Amino acid sequence: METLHTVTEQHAHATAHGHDGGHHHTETFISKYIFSLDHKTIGKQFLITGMVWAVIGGLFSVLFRIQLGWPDETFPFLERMFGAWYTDGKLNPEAYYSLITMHGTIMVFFVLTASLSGTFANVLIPLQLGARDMASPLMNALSYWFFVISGIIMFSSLFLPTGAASAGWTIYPPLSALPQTSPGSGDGMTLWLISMVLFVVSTLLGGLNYVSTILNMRTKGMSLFKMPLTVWALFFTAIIGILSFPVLVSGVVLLIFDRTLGTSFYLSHIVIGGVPQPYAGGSPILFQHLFWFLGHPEVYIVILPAMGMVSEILAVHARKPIFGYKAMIFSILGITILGFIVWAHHMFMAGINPFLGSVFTFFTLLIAIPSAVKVFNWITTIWKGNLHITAPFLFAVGFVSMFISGGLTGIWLGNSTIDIQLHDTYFVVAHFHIVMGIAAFFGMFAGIYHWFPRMFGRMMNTNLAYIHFAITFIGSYLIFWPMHFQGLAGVPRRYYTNNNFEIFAVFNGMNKVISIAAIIVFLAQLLFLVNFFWSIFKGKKSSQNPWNANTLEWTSPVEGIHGNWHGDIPEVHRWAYDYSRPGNESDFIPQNFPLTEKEKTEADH
Amino acid sequence: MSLSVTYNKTKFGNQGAQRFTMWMAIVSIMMTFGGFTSAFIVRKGAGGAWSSFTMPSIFNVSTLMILLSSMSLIVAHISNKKGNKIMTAVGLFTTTFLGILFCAFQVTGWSQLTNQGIYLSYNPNPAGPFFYVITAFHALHVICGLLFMIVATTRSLFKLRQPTSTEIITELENTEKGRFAIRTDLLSMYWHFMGLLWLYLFIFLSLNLNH
Repeated sequence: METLHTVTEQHAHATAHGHDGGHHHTETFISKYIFSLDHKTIGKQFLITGMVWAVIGGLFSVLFRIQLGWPDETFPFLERMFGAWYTDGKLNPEAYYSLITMHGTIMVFFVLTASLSGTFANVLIPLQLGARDMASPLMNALSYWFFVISGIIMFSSLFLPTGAASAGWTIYPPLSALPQTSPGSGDGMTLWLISMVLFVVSTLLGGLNYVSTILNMRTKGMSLFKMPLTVWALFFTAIIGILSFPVLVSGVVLLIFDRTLGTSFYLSHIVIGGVPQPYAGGSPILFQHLFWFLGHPEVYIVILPAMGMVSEILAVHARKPIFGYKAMIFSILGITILGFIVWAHHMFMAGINPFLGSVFTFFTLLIAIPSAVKVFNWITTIWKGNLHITAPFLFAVGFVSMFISGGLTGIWLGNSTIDIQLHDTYFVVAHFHIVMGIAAFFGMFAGIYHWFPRMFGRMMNTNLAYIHFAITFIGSYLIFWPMHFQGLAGVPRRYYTNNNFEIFAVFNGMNKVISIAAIIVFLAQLLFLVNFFWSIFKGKKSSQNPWNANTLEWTSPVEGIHGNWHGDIPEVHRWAYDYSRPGNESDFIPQNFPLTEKEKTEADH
Repeated sequence: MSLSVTYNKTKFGNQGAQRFTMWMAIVSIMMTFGGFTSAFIVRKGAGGAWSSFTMPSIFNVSTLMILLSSMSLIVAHISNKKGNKIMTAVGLFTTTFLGILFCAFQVTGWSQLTNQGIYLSYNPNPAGPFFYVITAFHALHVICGLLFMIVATTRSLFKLRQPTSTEIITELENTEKGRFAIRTDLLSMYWHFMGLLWLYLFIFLSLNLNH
């Protein structure tokens, strides 16, 4: 039965694809590059759109870091550039709150969710699994265009006279629910909510497609446990998205009703300017539950794709099999499951039952176990490896470093008692920026440097990449390491200025250092962008398999054709990590190489 | 045997994957309503202002409508497999009609509720608004399904018979008929799910509206 299956299957392939390989579609510029249904093009669209967003989000952080570093100075040139956000050369407090809100929203959702998953799931899932395209190319394209529309709406909110949303990226009511509470809670907040609903549609369309493709479209021989770890990570990422984003929709819909129709889902006992408001019976904590039921899994949506790519990249560039392949998979699974039952650790100080707090502390600390398994496996993978110190390798190692540094402080913050001192301080800012912000960016950079040849058929400039790495790595620690000390001393996050607290005057110099480092790191990213766009057109031509990697995407033609392979799709005979196999003449054996006689006999025993 | 092959491995996209995608979409819709109903329970359980009212009586009728519509859809499905084009069209038409009736009765139910003095807007109490939002969000999903149901009904009048399962094996995706079969297949899954989802919401709300 099984054999018959495969024979018919191959036959179906041959007939269906023999035709396809040599066929050239007459495509216009618009159908090829703009409204494309090809997963590789959609991946590139996600990537470049994400870069635009990352520059905007990064620029915002520079603006508010300038305010925090030099709260007493005036900057007339910034006022000339940004107009209404500044008064007398100083950033307005309202604009400051809009900037931190938009920085968080843009970075978490648009860059590290949509662009990171969108780029690599699109480029890698079909290519690494041996599929012609996604299960539904149309849904895939729709996912991108919903992302674009949602982005346009978010971007347009920046130009409102009342400013963009300013209640923080977590948009807690009542601040976000009542326009009277702050200028940004007016039209800016409305656009934020509309944009996010469309964003969720985009994420779901993409996620459904990724899961369906992974489970249904694998080439012959690609059993689940032969899949590269990138695909495993993207698989669980998509599942988390499918389960958690709909709950955000419920929360946001109720918030929209509170804002527009005067309902009281989240509002109770509110007095604004001495006037009691008519709302009763609502609960702001309810919103926090609904928000963090998405919000916490969201951080794994951000970090898992980076983890998967780092696993793959470390093995390729250390020329060693990944250590603990199955342990890696089950630790991702463990993180996925635990990630859904820890959301209230964001709410320890929000007035939840302290007993509930200790339950959530317990589950939160459990996540340290699968995370530590992964870190151990990464380190063991490069241990005594034949290290090729390339740009993707450096960024992957940078990822591991950031993940360890940020993960350790997570153990502090996961304790509900320590959180009494540390919540809402710069300690939290330092923790989550290192562990999910910078780490995910490092994973993304590693992925871009590694798969750039597959995406664009050319190599990126290595020396620029080394400079980019050195500045980003050192700079990131310079920005966030000092924040731990500020947080331990109690410096609150989100404040426009700390001038009114004399005890925090000791941090004035430190704030300047952080801000200078932030500006330098931001400029270093422009260097990366120059390298990226220059290399698309002028980079050195890539060979078929520039890193000597095993996975299937390196067997597909460099120029990237519609349908991915001329003729038949390669079959898979082995896992993705046969590097430096003793007795083999080359130090890698691609997945589509049949087992040797010796291996077959070994497998039999 | 060859059924599963052509089913699962056609050129771009395939039916197995599309059915699976619909299952995943159903799971994500379940999560949305799971979010709503758990918000309802958590808020009610926390104490505080909570007005009591009874389910509008017309909702019993609308529940009957959506369950009947699932049955007529099954009739359409079986007739289609047998190649009975008239019964297929009749079945799809009845389903659409019952779906529209369901929505109409929901609207009637909301007006019954406003007559009781339970409002959605400017109601300083979350119980009524919860009821409106949850039922309206479900109705919105039904309306989306109805749009596709109307398309399917219209097509069934012109395209007449869809392929039998043997034809699906050989021709799927390559023929107009095959594509139609897949679409109605996915639509059936969605529609039956809407019925079950309503049944859940109906029972949930009946049990939990009052103290």
